[in-house]
Amino acid sequence: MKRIFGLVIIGLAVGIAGCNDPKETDCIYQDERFCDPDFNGGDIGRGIVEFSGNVSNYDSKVMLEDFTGFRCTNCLPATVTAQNLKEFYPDRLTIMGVHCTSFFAAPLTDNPDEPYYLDFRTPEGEEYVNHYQIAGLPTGVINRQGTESTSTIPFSQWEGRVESLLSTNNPEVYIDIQDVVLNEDSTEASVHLIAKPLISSTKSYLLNVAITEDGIQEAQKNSDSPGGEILDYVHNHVLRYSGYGPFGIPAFTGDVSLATNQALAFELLVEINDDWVRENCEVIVYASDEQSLNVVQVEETHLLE
Amino acid sequence: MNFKVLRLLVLFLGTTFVSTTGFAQDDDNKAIITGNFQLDGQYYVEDTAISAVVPDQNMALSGFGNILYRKGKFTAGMRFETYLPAPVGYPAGASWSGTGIGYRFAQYSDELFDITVGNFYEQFGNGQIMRTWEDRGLGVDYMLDGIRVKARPFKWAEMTAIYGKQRYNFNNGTQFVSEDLGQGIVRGINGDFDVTSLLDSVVNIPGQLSIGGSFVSKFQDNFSSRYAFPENVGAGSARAKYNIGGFQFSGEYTWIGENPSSMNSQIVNIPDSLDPSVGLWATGEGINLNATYSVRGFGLSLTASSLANMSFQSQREAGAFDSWINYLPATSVLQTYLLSQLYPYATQPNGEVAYRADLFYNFKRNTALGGKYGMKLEVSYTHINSPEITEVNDLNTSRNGVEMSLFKPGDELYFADFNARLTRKFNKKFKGSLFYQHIVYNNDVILGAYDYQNIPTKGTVYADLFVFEGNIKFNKKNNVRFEAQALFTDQHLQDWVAGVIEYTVSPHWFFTVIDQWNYGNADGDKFHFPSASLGYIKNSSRISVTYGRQRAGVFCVGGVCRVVPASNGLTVSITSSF
Repeated sequence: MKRIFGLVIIGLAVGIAGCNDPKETDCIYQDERFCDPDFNGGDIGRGIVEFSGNVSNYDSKVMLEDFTGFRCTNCLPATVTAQNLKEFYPDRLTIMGVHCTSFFAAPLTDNPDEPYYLDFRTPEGEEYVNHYQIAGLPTGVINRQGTESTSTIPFSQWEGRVESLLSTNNPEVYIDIQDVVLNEDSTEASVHLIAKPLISSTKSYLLNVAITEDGIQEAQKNSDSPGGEILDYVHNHVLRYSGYGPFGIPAFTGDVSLATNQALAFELLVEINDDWVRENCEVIVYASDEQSLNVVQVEETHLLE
Repeated sequence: MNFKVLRLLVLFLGTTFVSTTGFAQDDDNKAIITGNFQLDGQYYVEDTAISAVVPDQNMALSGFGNILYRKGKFTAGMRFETYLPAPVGYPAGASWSGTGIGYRFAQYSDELFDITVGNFYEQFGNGQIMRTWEDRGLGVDYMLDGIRVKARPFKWAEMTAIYGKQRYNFNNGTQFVSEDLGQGIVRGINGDFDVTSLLDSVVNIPGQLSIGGSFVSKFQDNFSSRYAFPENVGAGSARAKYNIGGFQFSGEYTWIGENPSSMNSQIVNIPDSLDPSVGLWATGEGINLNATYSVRGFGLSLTASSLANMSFQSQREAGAFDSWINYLPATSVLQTYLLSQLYPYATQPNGEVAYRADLFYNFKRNTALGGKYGMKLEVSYTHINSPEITEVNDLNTSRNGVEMSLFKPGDELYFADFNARLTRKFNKKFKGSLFYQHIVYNNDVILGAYDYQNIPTKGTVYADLFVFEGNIKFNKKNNVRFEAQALFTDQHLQDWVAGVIEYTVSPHWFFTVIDQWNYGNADGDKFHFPSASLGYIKNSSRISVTYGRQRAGVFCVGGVCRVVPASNGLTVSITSSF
């Protein structure tokens, strides 16, 4: 009995002693680039600008994140649902196809001539999987509403949820992408935008920029297709990049003092990857509530006009 | 509805009280029910001169009843609590309101194991790594809800393991730290070993040596998208105690892992642009050493304590009184005299270096100084300084923020207290004592001294207190105790005098009259704070009624102090145990 007791105590001691997060890095930020003294991405504010007129007839817009993977045999119907919704609400719905998890999205070959060679996964996409406690695909998150474990929505409910959000047309934040300027060698882009809170509050808002790419030809598993796959499938809205970590960077607060014809100017930076077809890329800018992480507004434009 | 619940409680307690005689048996196999009960009611009267606040509901009522059921090796208990509403300024931290069950547990205990499920309080060592405790007067309750297992596998060893969620507030029942706030899970293990007994069969060592060690960890989800807060924060401690003859030594060292919190954000000035509220990623250290020597008629005690970033709460964002896992024992003496309580010291968890020496000497009977009955001299000195803080320029990267070393004092004196008391029995009827205290009180740090507009006084207060206390025992039934106090200071509210007369008619009645007079307040009104109490005691029940003015100040228990606002009105208090 005493030996058993001793083993139990030793087990407990070892177990509890492990309950201290070892310091992996010397950085206090989730996005470790903020600890780099040469990184100026944190300085996104560009002051106050004036409109020619007041903001009027501005609609709230919705962001749907479709968690998927090209090795997911049941994901295609969800992606089709998202694309159908986008066709129905082209100006008010933004889609990000988040290919995630090694099980569903890791390449199957090193040979670029074989199917399932491309890797669509992103570090942020894997963080969303952990954050939303995603256990299986397909699933989606709409405007990142809900708590960590209650945010995910089966694709059968996407249409109803999107319509419900769009019908409540009371935008909390205004965003307007002014332009996207590429540097000389097209390795970096500056996204210039203006934003302002439309409802006064004590909330803090994050801004983030993402890149999605359309028209990527790569195989897709699909249980309803002959052979269980579509080898010449064309992937659209694929999330390629997230500029400021998974959720964004603090940008402004709901109690900022602005005249009705004034807004805040921002410059967000995007690192361009050579593998992307620039003509097919969309720039997505979204604002979210820093506390709840709910997306409160989203806008998109082409990387190249 | 709430009053119905209260009536039911009173009826239940009454019934239990009546039936106690029937239950209480010495036999282990018989069920035993015990308990205690306290009710405090306060009626507020407006008194704008001293900024006495009259709440919307001009009556406050708070109370609790503990009921304990024991049969053999099994014990179960619960505590009913009611705050309808709680008095102004109570509790110290997150609000308590409504009525409900605040505490419940079941426990099995035999020679080898002691297992508790539900709510429990626990302390490892001197508490500076973990002590979940409650004080209803102060309005703090740090209980855990979970499981505790104690085991005594050998006569020289006791091991304890705990795992639970911490109480946060009270809203018609105890509210634990919720998932929305990051759960507040605390787990720990502790071992205490009697080395003398362990080595008994091998070698005899002089004196009595015991050692112990603990590891405690907390878990809180990181919901921040910006900061990489550690979700698991661990702490460890080691301690030893040694007795030989009249000498006793005890010491405990505690270490806490990187623990950014709203508490430690106050150690250094962090610019607003760097979001100071998230705190410092600094580790904490604390040590407490005590040596005492006592023989008949003489005792000396020396204490040294040093803290550096030692706040350990189950929530990063917790307020100054919420969710404390550890308890930092006070080095200062908590004086009970009314005017001394103008300047009580509160332990500074972010850092302090403290020393204290206490001495007592009994002058023998039938000597020139001792007189017929002897005389006792008690002298005590406490000196508490800031720690030396070296700022580290890493606030935007690793944000350790500071470097502090134990027992390296800084330049700022936080608190000093020299006091001496002479107590002498003059004859069979009269016993008296003289007390002197010199206090140095840095209110910029301690924030315990307020003016009549409830604004903390700036700077350091230097005060001298003189007290003459006497007790006259007229006969077996009639006794009078009195205090005459005078406090002199050029700062804060300046000079005070106070008087206390307590007349007791044994065994049932007592009557107390108190007045505190701020006669030397050159900058404002010279307020009186009179009050009168009448009380009745029968068996283990006590009822008292008090009417009077209470000045703003702080109320402290063991180095933890809460602000008590000024008030004026009637207070009724009932306590009973069975």
